[in-house]
Amino acid sequence: MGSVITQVIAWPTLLVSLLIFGFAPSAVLRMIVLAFRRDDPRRTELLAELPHVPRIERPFWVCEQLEVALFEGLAGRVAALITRKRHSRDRSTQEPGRAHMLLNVGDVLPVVRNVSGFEYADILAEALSTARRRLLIISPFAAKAVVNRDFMARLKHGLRAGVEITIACGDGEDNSFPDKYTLRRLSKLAARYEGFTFARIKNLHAKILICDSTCVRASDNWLAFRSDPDESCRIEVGMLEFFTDRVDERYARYRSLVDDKGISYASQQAGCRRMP
Amino acid sequence: MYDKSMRKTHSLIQVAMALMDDPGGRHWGYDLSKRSGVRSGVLYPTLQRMLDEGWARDGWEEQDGVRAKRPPRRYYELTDKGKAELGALLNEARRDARFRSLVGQFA
Repeated sequence: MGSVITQVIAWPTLLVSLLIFGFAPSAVLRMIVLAFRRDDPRRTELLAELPHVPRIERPFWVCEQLEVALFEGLAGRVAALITRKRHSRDRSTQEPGRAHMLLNVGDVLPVVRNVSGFEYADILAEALSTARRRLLIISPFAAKAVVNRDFMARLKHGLRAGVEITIACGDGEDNSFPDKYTLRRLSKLAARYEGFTFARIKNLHAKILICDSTCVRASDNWLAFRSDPDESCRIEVGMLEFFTDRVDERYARYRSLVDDKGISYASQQAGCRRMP
Repeated sequence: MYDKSMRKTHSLIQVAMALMDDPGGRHWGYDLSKRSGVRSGVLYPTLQRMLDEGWARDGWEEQDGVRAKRPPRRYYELTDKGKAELGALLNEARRDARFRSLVGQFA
């Protein structure tokens, strides 16, 4: 330990550090900002701030950014990587599991079956994890109890995998749903990803979930079935259909409803950069 | 009035004071850090939370392009909601013994 400290405070080390941080802070900062994610505006922001920092302060300021980059940039990257890995593992290992069987019940033959309210959570989780082409959720109400961090991570993962995702909310003139956290989270995501449409439709009362070739019509809100923790268990029903043609037709109908009558929430976040 | 979702801390109050010094103006990261006395490691996450809450909006400085030899800077502006929230926050801080000395000099 003592020898390490001696090495660190040795003249050559100090001189090299002074040379690097004193004469090439811009080069050092360019390397430091790589710790931030590619879409993080701070990559550009910090580089743009450097010319405005007095020359004498630059080495110290650059060192400070190293701390920021390590604790925020790198930590954020590691967290994102872990989430991505976990979800890709979920996707690849889900084929024989129970959850997978909930939605893709009829790989060959068309299927219609009843769905109980107790299955909503599993069906929603499976739809988010296994959707390959498209996912459409129509839910008049949306609450943060369902649109939580895990939901958002799965949604982002699907979007990155190229799934076309549509979420439509809204019920008459009631502005209390989606709640402000849900609204902010989903609006920001819609402003960033072209493949994600988040809209409000007036007088909407349908509760539909379409995941690839499966359509589930429910009696409770897909994004708010857990909204009230004090509420006793209600009897909810639903109908699941696996008919490629019919589901295609339904999907087209609901998408055109969103396109024609939906008011996009993404416009509220117009300042955000969109991801392809 | 003040939204409790942002935890009231010394650094938040310092940043709020620096922003409310010129509520209608554009604020830059380094400049804000100097004026508020809050270091970058705390300042940027605070600004990010303000953006998330809708208290501030950000943008990139317009430049002449060819003549500019440096990249455009990112600026922060307070929204109407932000002005109201930060005003309420500073009012609350004035009444709070923990922050009174900090906010005392702020008119």
